[in-house]
Amino acid sequence: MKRLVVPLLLLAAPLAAQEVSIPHSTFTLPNGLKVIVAEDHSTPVAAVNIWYKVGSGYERPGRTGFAHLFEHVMFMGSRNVGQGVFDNLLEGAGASNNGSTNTDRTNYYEILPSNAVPLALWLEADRMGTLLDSLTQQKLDVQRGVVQNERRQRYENQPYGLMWEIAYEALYPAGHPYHWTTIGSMADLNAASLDDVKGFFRSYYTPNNAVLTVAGDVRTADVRRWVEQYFGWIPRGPAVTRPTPSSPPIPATRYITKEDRVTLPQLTMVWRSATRFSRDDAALGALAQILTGGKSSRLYKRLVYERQVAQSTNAFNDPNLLSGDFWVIVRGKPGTQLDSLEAAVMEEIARLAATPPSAVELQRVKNGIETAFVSNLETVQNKADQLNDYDYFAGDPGFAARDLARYRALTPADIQRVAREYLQGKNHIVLSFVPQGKPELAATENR
Amino acid sequence: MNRTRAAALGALLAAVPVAGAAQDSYPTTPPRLGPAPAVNPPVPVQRTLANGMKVMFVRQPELPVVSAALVIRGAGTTQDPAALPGLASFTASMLDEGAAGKSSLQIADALDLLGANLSTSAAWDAAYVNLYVLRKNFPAALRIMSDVVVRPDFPVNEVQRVRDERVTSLTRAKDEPQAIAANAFSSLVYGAQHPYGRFATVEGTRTLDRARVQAFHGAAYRPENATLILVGDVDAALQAQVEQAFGAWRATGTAPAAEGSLADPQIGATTIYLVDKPGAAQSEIRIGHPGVRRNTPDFFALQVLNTMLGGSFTSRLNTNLRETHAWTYGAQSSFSMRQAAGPFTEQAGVVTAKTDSALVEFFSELNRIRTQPIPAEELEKAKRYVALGFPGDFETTQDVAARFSNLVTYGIEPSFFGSYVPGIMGVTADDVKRVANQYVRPGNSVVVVVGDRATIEAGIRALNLGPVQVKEAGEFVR
Repeated sequence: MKRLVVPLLLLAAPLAAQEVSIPHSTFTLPNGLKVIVAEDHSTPVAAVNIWYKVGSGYERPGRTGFAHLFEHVMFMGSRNVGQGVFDNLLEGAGASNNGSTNTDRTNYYEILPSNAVPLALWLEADRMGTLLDSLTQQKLDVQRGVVQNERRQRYENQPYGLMWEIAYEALYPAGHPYHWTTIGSMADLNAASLDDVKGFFRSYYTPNNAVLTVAGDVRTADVRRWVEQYFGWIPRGPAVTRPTPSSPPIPATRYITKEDRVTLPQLTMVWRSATRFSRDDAALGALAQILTGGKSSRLYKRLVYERQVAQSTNAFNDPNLLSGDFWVIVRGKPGTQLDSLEAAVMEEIARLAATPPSAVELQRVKNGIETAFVSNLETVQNKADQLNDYDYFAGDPGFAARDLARYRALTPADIQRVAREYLQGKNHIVLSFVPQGKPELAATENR
Repeated sequence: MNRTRAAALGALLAAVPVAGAAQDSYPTTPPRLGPAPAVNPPVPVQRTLANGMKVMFVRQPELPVVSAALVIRGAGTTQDPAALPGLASFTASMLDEGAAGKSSLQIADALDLLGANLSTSAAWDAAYVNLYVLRKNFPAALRIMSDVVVRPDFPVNEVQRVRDERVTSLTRAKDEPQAIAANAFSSLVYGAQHPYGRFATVEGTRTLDRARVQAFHGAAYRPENATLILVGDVDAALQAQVEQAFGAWRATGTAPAAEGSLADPQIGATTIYLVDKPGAAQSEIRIGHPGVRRNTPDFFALQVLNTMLGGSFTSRLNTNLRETHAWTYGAQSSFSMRQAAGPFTEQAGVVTAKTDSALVEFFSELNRIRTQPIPAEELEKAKRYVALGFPGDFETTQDVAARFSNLVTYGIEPSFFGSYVPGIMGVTADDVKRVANQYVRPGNSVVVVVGDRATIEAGIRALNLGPVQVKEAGEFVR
């Protein structure tokens, strides 16, 4: 992404409170561009947020990282917007803007004073309609260099920074598009060509593969008029083929050790879970919170608070379009044997598989999720992004009420059931990051 | 204003080639915008409790939530004893580890059941306790908030546990090139006699104990220095509840004062300090010197200057180092404005092979903004970016609480917000030039580079920017 890659959504899917929905309306242009408008006049600001239904999950081996590199190129100007002018115009109107890429989608957004909405819409239309008219090798090369520095800064020069790459390579078979990370490899970034940019643009950056959401201090009729004028002429593109690889179960539990320039050993355990908004997505998110959300959560309390053998614990379910994964990350105190942390994680999972959590334990989690949902709706940008998220992954921008319902309906027995169905006794990845020269701290099979 | 802006936008686009629109009604130039919305910063209702604590009520009833921010001035890191940096921060972090007879876990569980987020922290000039909660659960959460502020127990076992966690964090700080660079920079700019030049160490942290924490809390957490800011579905009718929660709060002893000197240290000729991080993929660069205090009369001109230099995506530093040369993921500058003059810092992580070239470009930009004319369009863009973006600073209840927290910390009246947009729009090119020459001093800077010495040292020395000294990371993270 332009300024920051979020390789994973680290939070549980948010939960709607009954009294807080996201009122909106939708319309679709003849060229297939779907538009969602959510009026909110509480502050004179608005967000323009467009999702293209493409991410690193649409890449092929040899071109990993391309969807994200392409995102960077989108800021380099189009037929009527010279290089550098995109950001200059927006900043001159008091707007901030950015974009992000993950496995399944790429988003672009502007947050602006409400009078500047037409500017953002026109800029988005110009790059959707005419990006290739002004594309040059120099633009691609500059952003290739920027992205390679993004990779250095956020992954290579960070302790534990290669955790995602190593884990995904183990979690998904070669050829599956979740086998690699959104940032991609240096070699593949070097291989990306102008022809790749052109082909990608023509395949995926089409009105029929995008959804545009405007939230905030706007009138729906105005938005419709602007959108028709700016986007209406852009021709519909070819139908998009969605990737449909099978996501086979993890064939065997696998132990991996990585020596890194780190002081603290870190244990990462990953199980296959389920796709976004599928039946057990909410229960798995709540289960993660029961393990590591709050001081009384099971793993935090046991390892950080009581035994004090770990510095931090973090569990989350990461459900995506094609598949999902359940992560547990425990960072040990200096010299901690990761075997002992692994055993503790397995014991806590076994406990939940044997006995449901208490009602109050689950209630704490539900209440925290409810607050997070309301908090999320305080910004027009989050509101717009949420509408797009529901539209893409749930097939309905008005999914908030049902999203709420699935969390409210959770019972302790549901938590127990998903602990059994997805974790207890299931194949998984065990990844140990250990200080250089200390491989003996790694978790190993049959220790 | 709208007309002015539209004209300026046209000027920015003058050099852009325009091809025929694919459809007659599709415009090939940016739309003219209507007038920017009026800025109506919220106006708080202010009250004072009998013990001297102040309360601000800021009504924002759109969502059923409350953001509460308690600011305790004089309980920040600047007030750390010279021999024990980290005490203020540690004290703040201990507040919710047991209070009013309730254990750490009981407090956490009660907050979690309310769906409430409570955080405690210390910055340079104040300690902060922030609460975010649904309106229906605010009364219960407020009582817990007052317990942790007024009646913390600092249980010995919890002091030991949190202290050990801090020791572990400090032990691993050497893994992070950015942490090394931050400590090295502040330490080399300010030195140990200035509070801004000190940093917590493993050795010092091991001496933290219950008595020190309790004494610091008793003396520094004073109701007469505290302001509670309530934002959301609230009004002054809540005052009785606040009085009940905080009315019994009394301080003990005398308020701690900063130790050493808060005067700006003199920085001699620019010196480069090289910290080896063998094999690093990037070099972390920090350049700067003492900057300016928060209550500077040049506040607005400095906002505009920094936006142009390194405070926005299209700033000179980011455009040069990222968008032109592609040597970094991002380059920035900032003025850290505190009670005294915090640092002015320019920074970037740059690809190892281009470390010396990046330094050349940094200094080129620092000199250019001092010596070359300020182009009118660039100045207008920066002013509009800051001024027109101002309403967005008040979007959420937490945003509003944060904006007021900053004012309260520095004793600035809420009317400041009303002066903000005119203040920014009134900045001239001469103002920018003047503050650039006064507050940006490339000839008297500290330059810290944390990177792969074997690869970068020769190139840096060949620049002749100033003397090069090699430092050990262990001097700054220990």
